[in-house]
Amino acid sequence: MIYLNNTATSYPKPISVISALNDYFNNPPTNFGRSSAQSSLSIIGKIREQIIDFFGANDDYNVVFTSGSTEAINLVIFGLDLSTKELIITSNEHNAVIRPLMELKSHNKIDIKIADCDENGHLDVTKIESLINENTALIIVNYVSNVTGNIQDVKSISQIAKKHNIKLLVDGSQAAGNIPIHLNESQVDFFAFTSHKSLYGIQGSGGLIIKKNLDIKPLKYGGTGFKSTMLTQPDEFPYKYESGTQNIPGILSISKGIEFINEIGLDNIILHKEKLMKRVIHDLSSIERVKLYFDIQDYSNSVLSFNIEDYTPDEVSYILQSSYGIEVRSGVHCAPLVHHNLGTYPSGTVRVSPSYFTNDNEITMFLDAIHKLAAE
Amino acid sequence: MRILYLEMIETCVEAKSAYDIFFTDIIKQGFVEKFSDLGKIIIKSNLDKPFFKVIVRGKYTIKGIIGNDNFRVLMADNSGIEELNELKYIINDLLR
Repeated sequence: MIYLNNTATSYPKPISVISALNDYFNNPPTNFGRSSAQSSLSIIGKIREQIIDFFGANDDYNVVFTSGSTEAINLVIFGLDLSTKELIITSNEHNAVIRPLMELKSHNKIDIKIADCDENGHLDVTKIESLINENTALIIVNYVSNVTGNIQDVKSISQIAKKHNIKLLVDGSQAAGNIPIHLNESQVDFFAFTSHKSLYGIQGSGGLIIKKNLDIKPLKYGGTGFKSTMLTQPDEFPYKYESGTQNIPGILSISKGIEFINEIGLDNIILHKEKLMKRVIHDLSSIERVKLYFDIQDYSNSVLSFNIEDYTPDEVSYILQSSYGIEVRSGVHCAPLVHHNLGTYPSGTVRVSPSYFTNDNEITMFLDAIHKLAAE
Repeated sequence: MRILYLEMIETCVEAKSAYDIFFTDIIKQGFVEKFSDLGKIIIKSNLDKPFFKVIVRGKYTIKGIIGNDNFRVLMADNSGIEELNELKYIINDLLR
């Protein structure tokens, strides 16, 4: 099987990630805060520092572990007091953002304004500023679109947010491990990330990087392995946000995934994917019946959306899988709004996404299959 | 050849509801052509393994690969278990 669906979840995982998890499961559990093993505290603490460092943050930021980006985003949306406020999102947003907001909106608690992308998925940041008013409390931006692969200008958006004293939440699901991130420079308030995509970790793990001076309500309450005689939730960071037994294997996988990226070098990973995607774009652009959806100016090389004339997207993915053993993804990719901009609503697009482990031969086989599909 | 089993598939990927129907043998072109009374048949024979689609307007769309042992049924928005059972009956009839 040729796996080109790394935007959904990366495969394969690095041997170092698998080995670390194998070691973990073959040894007595190191249960954070709940065993006498002091080393567990320092291990998790070091992983927090490693994450802070990887995302170019500093002592102004903290890390909360979550089950992934969705929980991290929910933590911010439901943790801030947004009652009667306005929020601005872009049309690139994933349902991880849209659905919690619609839940709040259904109780008449918020108003949502949407900054639309153009037909190539490019977002003009001035559109965000034009939507701001005195009631705007939060801007949410998808750093790298999981549909078009376009990178948003988070630094400029952050400057706009700061200028108007508005909080900024960045959904970094597709950005983490795909592009260099410098939170110190961009000064975003909240950054949500997941482990199992381009960080090469496992599902069910991720986190929220949060500025230390910001206070939000916890999403869940319970045992923290800290101040256990207290009947109320401790107020200390990060315990107040991390109730329940931690997903130690998941957290470990984040650490080992980051180690892997650092060993290879993020620049080398980016170069490898850029080389593959340039070939894909060059080749698919030459096929008259293939339409690509991306903006070359902002492109991340992480994912490419396309359609083939006379085929629905799900037919293309079905044929690739059933006839050629190639795994891609079709549909709206849980980001329905941007398809109105791209003109691909409701059937969506076909999405191809390689990883560092994808080789030239696999891309050749994918392109050969597309040429056959697109032939008259 | 007969139906072996049905498997409901992730609906967010396809239509409102979708099923893969598995057979005891591989699907041949002659079998697909038997659906011509039901609706429009499209066969893309330029592929390594020909792709086919049978559109039964208002009820469902069948799509599959000739040479594989299964095909996919995408139910129309207002179709449900009744139409699926009807299709199973039709398939069993065609296979007699």
